[in-house]
Amino acid sequence: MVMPFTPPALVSPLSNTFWNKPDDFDVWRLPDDDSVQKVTVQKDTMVPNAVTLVIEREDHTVGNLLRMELLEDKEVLFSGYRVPHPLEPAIQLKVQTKSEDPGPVKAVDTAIERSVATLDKIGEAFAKAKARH
Amino acid sequence: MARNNYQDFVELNVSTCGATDANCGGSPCHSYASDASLRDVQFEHSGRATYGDLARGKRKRGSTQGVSKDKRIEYAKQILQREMLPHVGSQPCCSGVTPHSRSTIKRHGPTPLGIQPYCETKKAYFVGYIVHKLLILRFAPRPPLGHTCAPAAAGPLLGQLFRQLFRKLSKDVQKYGQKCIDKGQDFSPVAAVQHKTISNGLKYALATGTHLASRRAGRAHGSALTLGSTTEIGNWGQQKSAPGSIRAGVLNRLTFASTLSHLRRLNTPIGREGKLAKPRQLHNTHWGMVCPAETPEGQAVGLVKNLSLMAYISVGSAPEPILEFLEEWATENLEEIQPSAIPAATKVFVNGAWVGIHHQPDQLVKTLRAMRRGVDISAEVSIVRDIQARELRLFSDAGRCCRPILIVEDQSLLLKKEHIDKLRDKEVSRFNWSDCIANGLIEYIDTEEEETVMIAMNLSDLRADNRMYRYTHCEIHPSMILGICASIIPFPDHNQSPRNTYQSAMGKQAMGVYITNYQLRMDTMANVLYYPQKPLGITRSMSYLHFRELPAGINATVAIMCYSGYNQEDSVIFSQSSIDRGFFRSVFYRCYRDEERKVYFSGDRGGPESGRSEKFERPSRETDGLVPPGVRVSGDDIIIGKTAPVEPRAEELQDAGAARYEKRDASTPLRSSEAGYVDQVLLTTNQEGRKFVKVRIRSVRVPQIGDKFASRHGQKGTIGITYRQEDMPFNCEGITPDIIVNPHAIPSRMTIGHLVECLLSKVSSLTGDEGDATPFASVTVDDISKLLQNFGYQKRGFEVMYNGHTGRRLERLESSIFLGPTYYQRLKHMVDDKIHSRARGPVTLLTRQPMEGRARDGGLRFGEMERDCMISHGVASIMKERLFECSDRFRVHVCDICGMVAIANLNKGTFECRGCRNKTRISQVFMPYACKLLFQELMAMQIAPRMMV
Amino acid sequence: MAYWALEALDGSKTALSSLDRVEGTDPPAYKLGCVRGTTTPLLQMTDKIEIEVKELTEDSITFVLSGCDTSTANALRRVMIAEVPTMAIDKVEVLANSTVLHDDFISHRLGLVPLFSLLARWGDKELVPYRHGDAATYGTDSETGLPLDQTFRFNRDCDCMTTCPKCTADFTLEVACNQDETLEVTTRELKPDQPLRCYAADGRRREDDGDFEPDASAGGEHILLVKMRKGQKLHIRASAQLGIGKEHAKWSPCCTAVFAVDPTVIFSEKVYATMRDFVDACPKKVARPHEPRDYLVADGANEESCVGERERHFRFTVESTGALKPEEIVERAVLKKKLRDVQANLIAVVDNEEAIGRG
Repeated sequence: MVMPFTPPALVSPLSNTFWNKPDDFDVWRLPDDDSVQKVTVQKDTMVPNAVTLVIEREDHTVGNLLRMELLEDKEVLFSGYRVPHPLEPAIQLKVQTKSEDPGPVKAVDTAIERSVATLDKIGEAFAKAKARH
Repeated sequence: MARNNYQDFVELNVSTCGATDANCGGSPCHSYASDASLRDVQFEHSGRATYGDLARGKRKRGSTQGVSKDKRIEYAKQILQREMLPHVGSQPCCSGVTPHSRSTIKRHGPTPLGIQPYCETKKAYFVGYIVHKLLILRFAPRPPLGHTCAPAAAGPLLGQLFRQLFRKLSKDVQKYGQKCIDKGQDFSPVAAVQHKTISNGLKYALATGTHLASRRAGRAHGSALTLGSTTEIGNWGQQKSAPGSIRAGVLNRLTFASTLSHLRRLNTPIGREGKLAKPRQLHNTHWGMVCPAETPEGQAVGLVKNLSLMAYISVGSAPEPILEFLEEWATENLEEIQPSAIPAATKVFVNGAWVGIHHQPDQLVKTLRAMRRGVDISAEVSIVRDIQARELRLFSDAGRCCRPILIVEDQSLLLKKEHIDKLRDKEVSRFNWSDCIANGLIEYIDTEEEETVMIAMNLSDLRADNRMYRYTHCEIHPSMILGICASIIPFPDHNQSPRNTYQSAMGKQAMGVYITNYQLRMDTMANVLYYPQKPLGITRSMSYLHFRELPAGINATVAIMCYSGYNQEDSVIFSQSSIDRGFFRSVFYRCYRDEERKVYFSGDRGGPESGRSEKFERPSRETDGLVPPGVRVSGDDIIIGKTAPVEPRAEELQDAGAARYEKRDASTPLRSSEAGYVDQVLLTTNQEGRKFVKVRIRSVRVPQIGDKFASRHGQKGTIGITYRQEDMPFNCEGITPDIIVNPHAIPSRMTIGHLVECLLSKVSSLTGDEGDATPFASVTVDDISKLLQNFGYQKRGFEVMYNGHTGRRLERLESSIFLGPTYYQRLKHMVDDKIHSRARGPVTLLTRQPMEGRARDGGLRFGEMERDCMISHGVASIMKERLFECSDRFRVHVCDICGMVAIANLNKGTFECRGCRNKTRISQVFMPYACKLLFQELMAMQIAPRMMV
Repeated sequence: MAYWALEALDGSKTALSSLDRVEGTDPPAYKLGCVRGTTTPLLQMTDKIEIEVKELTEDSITFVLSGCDTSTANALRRVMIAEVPTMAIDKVEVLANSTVLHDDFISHRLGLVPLFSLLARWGDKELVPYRHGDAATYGTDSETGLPLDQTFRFNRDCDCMTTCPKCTADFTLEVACNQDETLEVTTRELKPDQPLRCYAADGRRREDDGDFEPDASAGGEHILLVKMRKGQKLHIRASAQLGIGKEHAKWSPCCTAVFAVDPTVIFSEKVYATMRDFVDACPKKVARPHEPRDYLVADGANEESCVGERERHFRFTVESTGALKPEEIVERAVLKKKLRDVQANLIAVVDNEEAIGRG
């Protein structure tokens, strides 16, 4: 006796391949329905002045940049990032500061500000160098 | 010996194997003569009539009943003439075409076909010779020379099959003729010859792989005394069929090399279960004949072999020219000599039959060789002079393994530079291989003759001042010992030997362009690589395998390093960007076929008018029922719509309300786990003139996690993860590897060839040439290193690399990364073909347990070992769930009185055990359906299993 | 550039491992994970940033970036490869194909054709100033009526139902082979519907109309798509859309974007005199007394010899596929946008949480 049964479709409707990994488009775009937040902040319950930021749809580019920038800050005790799984397009950034003010979120904020300044500088320098060339 | 003595011999009840039954099923007749294969002689008494019995007419052969004693003796004599030592003195035997036709004589009664006069004398001498050899073997054994490799190719096997069928046909004709005469009818040749006997017989044999007369085949294959193994060329299909049978199977078309290799396969049809190691081992005499690397792993290891590149199986030629020549050159016939002259002279054998003696063997051999080198006699003829035994053995039969070797005279090759030059511009000089043979520069030497020659391995051994050895021949190249698949391996001489064996097996699963006309072919399954490349490290043998024209791989940039840990345990990291750009993309074709058939019902009387045809039709698709090319199809879509007529039910059986169906759906759906596009539809007619269709579905296979890849050194691995270009490590030139393999794959496996190939390929990519990776050549790692250094690279192929994630230098200063191109193959095992899961699904009819296998959407087996595991954990509920609830849970109602299954009507809520007249004391019992089945079967055997609840 | 001579240093491994003591190089902060490096004031940091363009050709640029951290340099490199948007053929409609290559094959090949478009950018104009002036200079596209400075949008962001000229550039390719010889179908036959906004980057120069021939002197060549024999036909409609290299490598504007770190080799004069063989073992011959002091520092080393990397000094090489000019790839490596994106969301989250906390 063969019972009638339809298996769940293993084939994705768009591509020809099976769903072994997320769609390439989702690697860098947040879904349009706002179901995923770009940044979520988790306070560390064990350590004072420490948070874990989960930044969606970002990778080592931002992760490593922010970590190194945070390490330049003397108020920051610890900063580290990781990519929990290479198939999931999100990073975790862990920051601990010496005190509550500036707290870890603030430290990240200023780190971004500093990075942007550096990048601006690089942009200017490049424009100048190109003109010189 | 006189004739009387000969008859005495008969009474000795000595019967020899192979000789007993004329049809020795492909075993070469020369075996009776050759020293080693004398051990082929088999003494059989087990349950078979001996000649003594035959002589007394005890065994029924022909019409022996009621015949006088004289006639019986006459009959026995005939048998002795024809069946005992049939190769001696019966006819000029073993010309390749006729070795088996001696059996024809037997069947054809009194025709004195090919029986020579005085054959009894010759046979008597030969029996004497056998006894002599036997005594020597017993009292002064010479060390065995080794295997005789005598494969039976498809041609002779088919010939044999045909002969049997033809014999059957002629017997039928004879029978029919007899009948005609008996009845006084006219003999009609048209009615007498049943043309279907032969064609159906051949068809049957090819389809089933069973030989019509395989009952006698077993005898030919070595007895306990044999060292020699009988082999068959072309392991066509199944490995389980009886020895001596013809196997026909589908030719492997996965990649071109696998096709070639399949055609040069040798099968040893002895039991796989045999614990005996000897027949599986590589023997010295296999040198140059059988590939030392290419053999399957596991059960058939060493039993399935592959011919070396230049090995050649003799086709066979008529022995008459040799016999005539021998006569001319003063060979004395056995009838004309005094037996006392034999010990001093050299015995001459042709194809195993002792034809005479000769007094100047030196001269004779020299002349014979000269004649063979001038192709006055066939180049295939082997000339073996056994000085110690005073024997000269000549063979011209089919099925001997030969290989070409360069001829050496006076410590130098006969092949000179001028010949090479002429060979180089073949178009002008018209000088080719056969000219080399005809001019006596190269000759084919078979395994037995090989024992009598002195072969230099290299040209460098042929120095004039080499007084140690007097060479008669020189190898063409030592790499010619390898077979098809092993010839693709670069630097196999740097690898641990099993790795070459692994690669030989894996090369057959690689994807490439398997044949140039693949677009026109409708193979059941085919894989074609998008951008195949010829390897940077080539071997010289590849030119002859067309590996450069039909390659099966890509020169990938490979780094051997640890990176993020996703390449552990034989997995590899792939560059997603490379994959996006077409790296190792391939296309997979699958063909579905169907045809319209005639369906016959019980009411039909046969004949062309009866029966109803199936039809290709499907209303929802095109009218012809076939999917048009270009349509996207996915799992379970109907590709070929077909209807079959339904047997009309008798009027009285029909319900008035039930719909009358005339047709039943007999369509072909796409495999449920596949998807693709319709590539091509072939609509034609079959032999019977009915519609016949093949539909080819195409799907592109992009490398993804889980797909299998391998280098050419038995280093296989699956993709563990894919990283984009920016995540991959890079060197200062901006090169990112396509593949990252783990360094732990190297030391324990000792595939140094892998590393050398990488180094050589790196140089080749810089020079723009092909690198020569032929084994046993003089290239050294230092040579390659020096070249690489000249290009401004670290000489051992190391490079400084930077982490793609952070930009920091990897392996800070302590070591560098080994980076370079390596030829990689994509193997046919892909996750898309393996991925499978099931929650609920179809069950088998009989036991109601889940089906087996992915193709049927089957369950995943919870086997014995899993069961053991659960038991040791003590998780009984899990076990019950897996083995019962999720499998074949069933409910029965049991009578509490008799313990047998009761009748339950769940709709009405009534339960009854008729035997006990019990309607109240009934229990509901849950049990596996298989258990219920067992109980019912027991009941059918008059055993009452009672469930006392 | 890189240094290869490690092999000859068999006996001197101790000398190598003590690199951190080399003068002028700070101990790398990352070695200790959470230990901070020097607290350089922000201004001082950025002041050090210098760029020198070494070489600029049609398809590649080499420049030296100094004064910034490895993480910044690497982030730049990564963004250049993966996140600079370009146009690439993404959807292909095959109307007729009797060539030897099947539809998917040709589609894949078409996808990989680099398309040149100045209008392939992140929508945010303020981040990368559009250097080609205003719309008036360029006018409007005759076919679509769109202003020629209007950038392409991501198909998903576009307000059209399926495709429209604002997010998609269409191409047609229709070839039939009527000749006896093999016909090579190239990008020359790939006709853009909006020839001024987006076209195949096969090295040809923009001209007024019609056929463009590649500038062979600049290495330009039409890109081969498929070969045809007599009687075969190919008719394809393809639409190019905006995308980034992260999604598929066809949208990546660079063949390679890489930085190399120049090495420093430090010898004592004594050692150099005695270790000729060692020095000569280096294929690049970096260690020669005549070279600049970057490579050979005779004094100042306590150890006999040291190999190191020049800190905060990155020699970038960016090669373009043709989809963008190499210098544009560098300019458009808009890391800033990403950071601002994170920052905005971070602040939003925190504000939100605080609001909840207060509430």
